[in-house]
Amino acid sequence: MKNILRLLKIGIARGRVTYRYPKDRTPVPEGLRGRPELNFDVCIGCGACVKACPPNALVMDDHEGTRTIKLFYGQCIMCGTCEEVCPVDAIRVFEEFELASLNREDLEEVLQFALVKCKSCGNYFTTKRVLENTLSAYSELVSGYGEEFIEKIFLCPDCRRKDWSEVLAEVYRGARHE
Amino acid sequence: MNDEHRANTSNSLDDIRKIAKSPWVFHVNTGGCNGCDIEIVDTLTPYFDVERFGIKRVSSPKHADILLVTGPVTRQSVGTFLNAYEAAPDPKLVVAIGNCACGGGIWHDSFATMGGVGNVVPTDVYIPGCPPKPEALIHGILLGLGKVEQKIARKTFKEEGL
Amino acid sequence: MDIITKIRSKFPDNIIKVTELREKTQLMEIKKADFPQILDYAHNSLGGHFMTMTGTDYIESLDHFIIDYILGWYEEGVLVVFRARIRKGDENFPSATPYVPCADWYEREVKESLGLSPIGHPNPRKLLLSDEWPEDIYPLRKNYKHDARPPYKAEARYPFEAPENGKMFNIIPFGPYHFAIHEPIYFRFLTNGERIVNTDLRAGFNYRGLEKIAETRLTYETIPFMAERVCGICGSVHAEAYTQALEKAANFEAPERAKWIRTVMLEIERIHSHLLWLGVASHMVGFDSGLMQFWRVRDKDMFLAELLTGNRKLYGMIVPGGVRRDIRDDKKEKALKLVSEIHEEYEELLKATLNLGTLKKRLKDVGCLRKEDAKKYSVMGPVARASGISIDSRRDYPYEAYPHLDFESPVESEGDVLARTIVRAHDVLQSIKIIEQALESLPDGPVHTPLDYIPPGVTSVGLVEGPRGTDVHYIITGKEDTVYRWRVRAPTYANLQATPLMLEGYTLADASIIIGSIDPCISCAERVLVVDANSGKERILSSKDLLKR
Repeated sequence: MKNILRLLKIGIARGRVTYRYPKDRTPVPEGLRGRPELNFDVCIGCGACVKACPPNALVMDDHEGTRTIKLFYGQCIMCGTCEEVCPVDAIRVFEEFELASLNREDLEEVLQFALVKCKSCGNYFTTKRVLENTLSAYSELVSGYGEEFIEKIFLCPDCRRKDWSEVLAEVYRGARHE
Repeated sequence: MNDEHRANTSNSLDDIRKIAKSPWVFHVNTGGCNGCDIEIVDTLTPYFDVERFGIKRVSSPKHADILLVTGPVTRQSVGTFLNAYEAAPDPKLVVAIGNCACGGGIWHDSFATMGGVGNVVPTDVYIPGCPPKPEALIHGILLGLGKVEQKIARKTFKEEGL
Repeated sequence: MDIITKIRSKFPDNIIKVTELREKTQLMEIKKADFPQILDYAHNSLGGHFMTMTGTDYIESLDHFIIDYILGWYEEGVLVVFRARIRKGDENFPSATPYVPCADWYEREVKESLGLSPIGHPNPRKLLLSDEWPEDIYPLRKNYKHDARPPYKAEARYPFEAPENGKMFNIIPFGPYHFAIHEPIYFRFLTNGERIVNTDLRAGFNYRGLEKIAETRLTYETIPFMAERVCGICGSVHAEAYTQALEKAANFEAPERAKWIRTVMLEIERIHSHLLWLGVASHMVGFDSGLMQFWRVRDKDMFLAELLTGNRKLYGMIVPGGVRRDIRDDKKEKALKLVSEIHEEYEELLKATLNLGTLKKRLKDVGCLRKEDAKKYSVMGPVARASGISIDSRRDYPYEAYPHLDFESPVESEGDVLARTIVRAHDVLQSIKIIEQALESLPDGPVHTPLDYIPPGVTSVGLVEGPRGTDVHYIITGKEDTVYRWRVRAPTYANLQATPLMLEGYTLADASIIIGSIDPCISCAERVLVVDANSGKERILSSKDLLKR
C-alpha cells in the first residue's frame, strides 16, 4: 500500500509535463537534423550528392540536353551525407520536421540544368554550370596559358584522354630522334 | 489496384472528415525496424499525450478509423497486412509513417520488399522522417483529419533557355 | 592458445590448418565431415558459446562454398572460426543440430539462402524467406541480382507442426499483430485448458534482405547507415559492431576522443532501451502507470540524444574512422545536468515500483530457464545473467573506452522474469555511472581520421554488448570498396530459440510477459529472408523434438 502512495506522490510532485502541441512549440535543440534543401542559385548540377546518398533519395537523369536532379523527402534518412560531399555548399540540412503531406508530389524538389556538348565527338557530358565553376575556380592557374589550353575543358573525358595521349606520343617521338 | 479500389468505395477524404466521433487508430507494422513504431507509442506518453484529442489505440482493425502503417511491406507480411486493411471498415484513413512506408526507404529496391505502402494500398497521408518525431506524427494525423494546414509544397526550378 | 591445443590433442588427424586472423581470433580449417564431432567437443565439453554460423559463395572465382561456425570463450576472451569448404556439385554438409541444439536456425537459414542442405537436420523448414518464395531461387548467391523480384503468389501456407496422434489440444495464435508486442511475429500455442503444452513460431515478417544490398549497392562508408536501421532501438550497436569488424580488418585504431564519444552513445542507447522495456513489461502485466512513468523519464534520455547528435534515435554518429560530430563544452555541461536529473527521477521510481506486491507476484517464478538449458542454447545478455551465467562483452572482449572505465555486471540466479527485471534495472544504474565517468574524462584530439587502405579477402569479427546481449558481425572484405560477405547476428536470434522452453507449463495469461521478458527485437533477428518448400501438411514440433540430442 505504501508503495502505491509513493507512486502517487511522484506523480503529483512531477506535475503535468505535457506540451500542448500544436498550440505550444516543443523545445528543439540546436543541430537537429530535419529536411535538406537544395539552393538552385548555387547548385552546379555535378551529381556528387546523388552518388553519395545511401537510400537514393536524390536521383539524376540525363535526357536530350537536360539534366534533372530530383530530391524526394519520402525517402530521405536525414543523415547529412549530401551536405558533407557538396563542393559548393548548395545543399544544407535545416531544422524543419513537420513534413506531412496529402500526396506524393508535394514531397519532391525538381531541378533542371542545361547540358553541354563535347567539341570533338558531340555527346553531352556535363552541365554548363560545372564548366563555368571550374573556369572561375582555377582562373588564376590558367591565366598564364593560351586560349588553346583553355579549350581543352570543353572536351569530354574520353576525347580529352585521346587528345592528351597524342600530345605525349609526339613528345616521345621527338625525344627519340634526338 | 489503388485507383480501382478508391473509385468503388465510399472512402474519400471528405467522408472520413465527417465522422463525428473520436478517431480510433490501429497500428500495423509491415516489417520495419521499429523506430517509427516506438515513436507511435511515444505519442501516448505524458510529454505528448495524444489522448487529449480522443485518439485511442485499439486491438482489432474492425474498430479502427485510422490505420497507421510502418515498414516497407515485406513479402511475408503482405497477406496479413491486406487482411487487416480489408477488416477495417470504410471510410478509413491510411497513414504511411516514416520513409520506409512512404517510398521504401533504404530497402526500396530489395528483393524482399514491395517498396512502400503506396504500391500495395491507396494512401492518404505521407509522413516522412527516419523516424518522424512525435510532434510530426501528431501534425500528420491532424492534417488527415483536416484540423491543420499542410506546410510543405512541391518546388521546381528550371535553368533559362530550357 | 589453450583451446586450440586441447582440440588438437583430441582430434590430431582432422585439422587441416590453424592461422591467426587478428589478435585472439583464430581460424581453424577442417573437413566438412568432421563438423559435428568437433563442434560437440568445443561447445559441450570445453564450454564454448555459440556465436554465429554463415555460408559464403565463392563458386565463380574458386569453385566452392565455405561454411564458418564461430564459437567464443568469454572467460579467456578468444574466438575460434571453424571453416570447411563445400565443393560445387556436392552441396550439403552434416548438420550439427543433433549435438548442438542452438545451431538449428542458422543451418535453416544457410539452406534457404544459399542452397546448402544440412543432412540430419530435424526440421529443415523455411525460416525467414516468405512462404510463397520459389523453391529453387537462392537470393544470397552471387549470380542473383539484389533487385530481382519474382511475381507474388498469395496461396502458399506455412507447415506448422501438428499434435501427436490421438491427443486433443487447443491451438491459440498469438500475433502477428498483437497489442502488446510492437513487431510482427507469429506464435502458435498448443494448450490443454489454460496450460501451454507446446509452442511453434513463424518468423520472417521483418526480413528485408539487407546483406545482399550491402554487397552490391553500398560502399564501406555508407553501410553503417543501413546497419543502424536494422533496429530502431539498438541501432548504434549494429553500427559499432560493423565498424569494429572493419577497423580490425584494416588494423586501424580510431582516435581516443572518438572512442570515448562512441562509448557515451552506446550507453545512452542502453538506458533508453532498458527504460523502454521496463515500461512495456509493466504494460504487459496491466500496470499502465509504470508505462507512463518510465517513459516520462525515458523522454529526457531521448532529448539528451537529440542534443548531442541531432536525432532522437538512429544517431548516424558511428562511422569507420571515428565519429561524425564532436561534443562541444557547453553541450557537455547540459548533458551532465540531464544525466543527473535522469538518475534522480529513475531511482525514486525504482524504489516505488519494484517493491509493489502485486507486480512481484506476477513476475516471480514465471518463465524459468535453468542454468543448464541456458548454456545448451547459448543465450546471451540479461537472460543469461539472470540464470547465473556471468558474461559481458564489455568486460570479456574489451573495446572502445571500456578498459579505462569502472563498472559492474550484476548476476542473479533464479532465472525467472523477476530476475531478468532486476538485472536490467541495475544495468541502467551502471550505464549512468559510465556516462558520467566518460563525459568527465573526455580526452582531447581529433574525432575522425580516414581509413586509407582496407586489404581485400580478410575475415574479421566484431563483438559488442548491446542491451539484449552480444551482437556479432562477421565480414569478409571485398575488392570494390564494399564487403564481399556480411553476416549480422543479433542476440535475439539466440534467445528466441530458447523461448519454447520458457513457455512450457505456464498459463496463457503469462505468455505475453514471458515472451516479452527476453526483450525480443525481432527486426534485429531477421535481416535476411528464407526460402523453401512446404508439404501443405500441418505438423507441430513438440518441445521434446527441440531438445533432442
